[in-house]
Amino acid sequence: MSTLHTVNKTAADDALAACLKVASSGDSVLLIEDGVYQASKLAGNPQTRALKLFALREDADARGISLPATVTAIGYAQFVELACEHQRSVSWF
Amino acid sequence: MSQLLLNNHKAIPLDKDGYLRSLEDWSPEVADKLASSLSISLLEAHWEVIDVLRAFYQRTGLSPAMRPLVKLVATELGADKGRSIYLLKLFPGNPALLASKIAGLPRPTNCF
Amino acid sequence: MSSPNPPKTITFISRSTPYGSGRAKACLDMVLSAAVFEQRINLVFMDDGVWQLQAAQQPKSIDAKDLSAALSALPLFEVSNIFAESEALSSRNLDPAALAIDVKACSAETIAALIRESDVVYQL
Repeated sequence: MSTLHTVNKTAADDALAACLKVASSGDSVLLIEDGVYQASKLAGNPQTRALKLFALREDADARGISLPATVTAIGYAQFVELACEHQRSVSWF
Repeated sequence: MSQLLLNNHKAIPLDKDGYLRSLEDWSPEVADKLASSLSISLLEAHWEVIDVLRAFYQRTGLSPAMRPLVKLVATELGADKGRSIYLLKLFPGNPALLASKIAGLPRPTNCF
Repeated sequence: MSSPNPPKTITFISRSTPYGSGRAKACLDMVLSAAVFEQRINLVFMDDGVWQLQAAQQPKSIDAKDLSAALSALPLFEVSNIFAESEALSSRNLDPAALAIDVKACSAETIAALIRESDVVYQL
């Protein structure tokens, strides 16, 4: 019954903050595109304790961003798997 | 581009679906001409629906599809007129498309 | 105009100002289209989206269509589950009782619950 939230914006936009406000325990948050710049910020946010955190490896590598241990790097195939495993997706863009 | 020719030989531009290109081009004569091109001759019953549509568009900027049109007419003209069958008699085929076209409104969103 | 499939619950989260971009208008168009297909619709105004609810908008001055006037027609389209995030209203000094249309002020937790009950969620 959980939701996959994708976020593709840096902290200059409030997309991630909005997402975290209304995410439910057990949901997943996946950072893609410029969203990967928020990986360390996301990992240190107490609001994310009940969430599963992911970042798209290709987008992080492209930007030279290394991911904290609590944010799982995934590839495109796993992105598709995540989308299928969740009941719905919300794109915060 | 198609057009509608008025009695004074002025040509009103229409889009590919026969809707007015510019909503300011509308006049009762334009409505009459548009209606006769759709084989409808406008009577009092048609005009009151057209007036309701034009007022609604001026207020909200929206062209109603069928269900909201029925509800709108019911609110403005009474429950006996706010019925699909009544509107179908006035604008046979597709009341939402035909009435908004004659009233000079844009094509209703997602109305087939 | 009945749809062949059972209706879905679709939640639209509108988070953009009315005239700063095309997003608010795009969201409203999606809501109206979904309404024509007789889906169960929730419309939620969050963050800057609550500016769409500001009373007395006169966008003629910038040659734009009045978005709040279009919102006022939502009941006609059978869209009646309209929510606004309380925190977003209060942080912008918007009085829930003095908005352009009637909305249910709600918490972020309520919005989270609406998402959980939805088949599809659009955010823009």
